[in-house]
Amino acid sequence: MEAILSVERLQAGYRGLNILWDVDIEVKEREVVSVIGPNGAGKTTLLKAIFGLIESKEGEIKFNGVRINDLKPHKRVDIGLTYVPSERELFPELTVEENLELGAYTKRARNNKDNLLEQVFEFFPRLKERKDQLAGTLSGGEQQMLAIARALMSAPRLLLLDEPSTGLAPIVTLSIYEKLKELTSELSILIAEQNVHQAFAISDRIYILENGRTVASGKPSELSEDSLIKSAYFGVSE
Amino acid sequence: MIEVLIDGILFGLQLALLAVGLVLIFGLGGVLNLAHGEFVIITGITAGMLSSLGVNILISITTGVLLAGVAGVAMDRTLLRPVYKLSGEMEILVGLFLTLGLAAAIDGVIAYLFPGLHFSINVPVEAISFFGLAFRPSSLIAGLVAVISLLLLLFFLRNTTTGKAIRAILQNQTGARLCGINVDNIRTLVFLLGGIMAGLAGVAQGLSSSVDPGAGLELTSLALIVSVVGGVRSVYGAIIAGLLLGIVNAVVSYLVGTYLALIILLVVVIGVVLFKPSGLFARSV
Repeated sequence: MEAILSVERLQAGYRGLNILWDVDIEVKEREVVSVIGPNGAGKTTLLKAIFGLIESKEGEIKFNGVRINDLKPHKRVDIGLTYVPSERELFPELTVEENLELGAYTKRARNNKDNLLEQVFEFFPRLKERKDQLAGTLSGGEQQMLAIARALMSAPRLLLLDEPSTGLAPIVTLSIYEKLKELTSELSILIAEQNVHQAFAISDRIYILENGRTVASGKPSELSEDSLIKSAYFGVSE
Repeated sequence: MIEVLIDGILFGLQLALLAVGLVLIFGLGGVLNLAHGEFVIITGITAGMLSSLGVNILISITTGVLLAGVAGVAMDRTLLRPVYKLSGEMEILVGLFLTLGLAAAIDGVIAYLFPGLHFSINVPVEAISFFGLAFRPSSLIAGLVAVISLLLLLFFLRNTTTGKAIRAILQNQTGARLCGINVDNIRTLVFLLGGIMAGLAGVAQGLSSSVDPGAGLELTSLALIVSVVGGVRSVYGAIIAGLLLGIVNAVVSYLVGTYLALIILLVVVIGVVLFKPSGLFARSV
């Protein structure tokens, strides 16, 4: 299978402070990959660097075989990359529908906006019910749905998702994850997650990030056999 | 008294034209543009000089307004470049210093080139009367120009894709980037618009009275006051606050004289800021 995203020896961070030291990650077509790791491991920084909100200092980010290190975020959206941060970053004073319309801002998506909107509403019927409501008045779960839906409006090939369970009740998280599973027939997903159980349940492969380095990777079944990982991430000691 | 009200509305419209640009530039660029009043001066001088040289009045005005827009774009693309790389307090402060410096520089050059001159735009038409009130046609044209440009701006922000992108950036810049909006280009566009709107304020002023080339900073402070009263991120707020302060200023000037009027105006502003620190309209656009 073709890799849609490949990150090689990536170093990135903020002025004078590296967060990512050496990260290798690959996501193949229609694959769900999770990056797990403790707080401060660099999961969010990794997604931001892949999307271009943070400049990468060393290493390479390839999308569909093409190096994209120097592309601005808006160009990355144009070629099929999209990012849903844990803060969601919605437009609180615009309606649900206006938020979604802005999601289809790039020329490529704009020409197909009506179709995309129909698909997204079909996928999230709750959002259709609330289409004229201001985004700021939605519940946390609905806002997360809207953030994902807005990202889908750009007709992406790879969805970057940061901590989709942040601030949500477990039952709501579950329903969001069920929706994500349905999406995988259409696109690839890279999730950064602290909620290890959800990550293991949905992912084809997992990477473990610690102190800005990828320290382990594999299928969920392989990793959950590893006793070190078991004790570190599932709180089970043997 | 009705004449006073009309004067107030006219002045209010000019304030609104000035303040909408200031609000948009602050919302998108994070720069409180202390050189904003200079756009008015650039237009006033250009249009006044060209028309006094015998150039067609419409061409003079258009050139003046466009030049203000170009000045806005030039500011964004050169002087303010380094500001956008900063964040938080530093961004605001460096933006203030740079635009204040620019304003002082423009003021200095203009005072050197045109000492003590005023520029006005003469429209050679007779006064007309309406329901027994006499209107100077130039004031009427000034009012129309202002109303039409403000309505066009609102239509643009409400109904075009680019307008929606501007509103999106005003609410959440990161969110706008996530949608694939090229925030840098839209910011440049907003400087163009801000320059043009302030230029149109200059046209309105040149038509109804005259533009004083030394009044740049004074105009900037008026626009600042309007945007603070209106809510510093709200375009509607800027328009309503502009009209409100224009009318209050005219009525109070008529009743107690200009000097006291300025004091009363500032008291009104302090009152608004005390009771509603985010301005009358906290919502953006």
